[in-house]
Amino acid sequence: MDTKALTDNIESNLDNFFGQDEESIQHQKTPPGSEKKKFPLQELKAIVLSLDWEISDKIMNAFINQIDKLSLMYENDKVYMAFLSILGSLGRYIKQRKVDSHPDAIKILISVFNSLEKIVLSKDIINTEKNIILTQEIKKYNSLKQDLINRKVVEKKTDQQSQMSKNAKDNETISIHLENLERSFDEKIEKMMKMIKNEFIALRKEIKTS
Amino acid sequence: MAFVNTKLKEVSIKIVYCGPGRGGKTTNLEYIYNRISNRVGKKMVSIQTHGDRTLFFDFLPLEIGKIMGYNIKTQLYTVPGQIKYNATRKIVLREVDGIVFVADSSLSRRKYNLISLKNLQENLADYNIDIFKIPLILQYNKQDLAKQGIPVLPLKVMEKDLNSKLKTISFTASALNGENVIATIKKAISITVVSVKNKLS
Repeated sequence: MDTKALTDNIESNLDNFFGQDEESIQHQKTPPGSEKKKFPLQELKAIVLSLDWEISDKIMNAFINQIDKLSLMYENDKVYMAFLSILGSLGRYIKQRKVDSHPDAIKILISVFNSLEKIVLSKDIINTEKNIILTQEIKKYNSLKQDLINRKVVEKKTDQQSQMSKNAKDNETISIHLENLERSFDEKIEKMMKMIKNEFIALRKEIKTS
Repeated sequence: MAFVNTKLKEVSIKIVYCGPGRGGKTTNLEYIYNRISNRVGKKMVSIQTHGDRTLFFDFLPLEIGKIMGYNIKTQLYTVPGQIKYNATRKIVLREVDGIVFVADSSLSRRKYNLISLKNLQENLADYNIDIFKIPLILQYNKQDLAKQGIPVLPLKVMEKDLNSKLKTISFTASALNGENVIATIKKAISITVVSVKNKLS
């Protein structure tokens, strides 16, 4: 079979395997209204997308600045403000901990941003829907917060336990040392007693003979 | 190198998705998996992730049917894109038969595409694989960002940066929307199988 025939054979197999051509499914997930050239979250989105490779102070400062700007813009909208407040809090946390951040922190930040973007882009979304989306994101955020608290408690307990076990170990070492000291002291006394006894015996013998 | 079992009439080929961190490698695999999961019983395996970053690798096995009497088994892998995980990247590249290089089209990622491609070339060289000879497809991902007003690299610039020497097949794509994800993998499998067949004969 020549290369052309082989390629045709493979491509026909692949067409069967992957099913219908993807033309019909293209752009399916594009959010409505995304055709807009500019939208208020444009810069924030660029920053969120660049939270990549490494999380630098520069990127995180730009992120926090954007949140501050948007907070001024949306100060009269409670739902938007709640989203921005979560994003700000996560941003500050990630800035502080960087690569040591909780593994879910960036994931949740992106999820919160995506939900905010969805709300901003959707013109027809009603307040109830907005609140449902917000509640879901708050749940994720709270669960992250709880996890962080639990981790701290566990860390503290572990520290305490390791301190206690260190203390116990120290005590054990001290008591072993004392025991050894005691034993060697006893041995020395016993030796001295024997020596004195022997000396007495020798003295007695000497007295008797003289 | 592909594994050929003449007794069972099976050929296993390994295709690895490479490219800069958060460029969309895992999204490509997830899209492929979602597309075929109801028909193939196989699971996609993601090993160790930190948030949404791949720290080890993703693995998706596919059986695409018989070609020239041989059952073709394809193993798709992704590697972690972050610079610091080069050891893992290198391990995953061992015995690779074909590459899909997923480049990030956003303007801010330009230099990372170049770094990542250079790193791929070096890692392949360590296995005595010439980047110019291995079946390789370029995918310029995240094209959808332009629709949202986020600056993306012009196609001309991406071609000049990444494909001026390689002169290989390239696709613009939006893995998030599935645009050209299947076209990319189809082409990658196709050129890899042909290359394996040529090597064996």
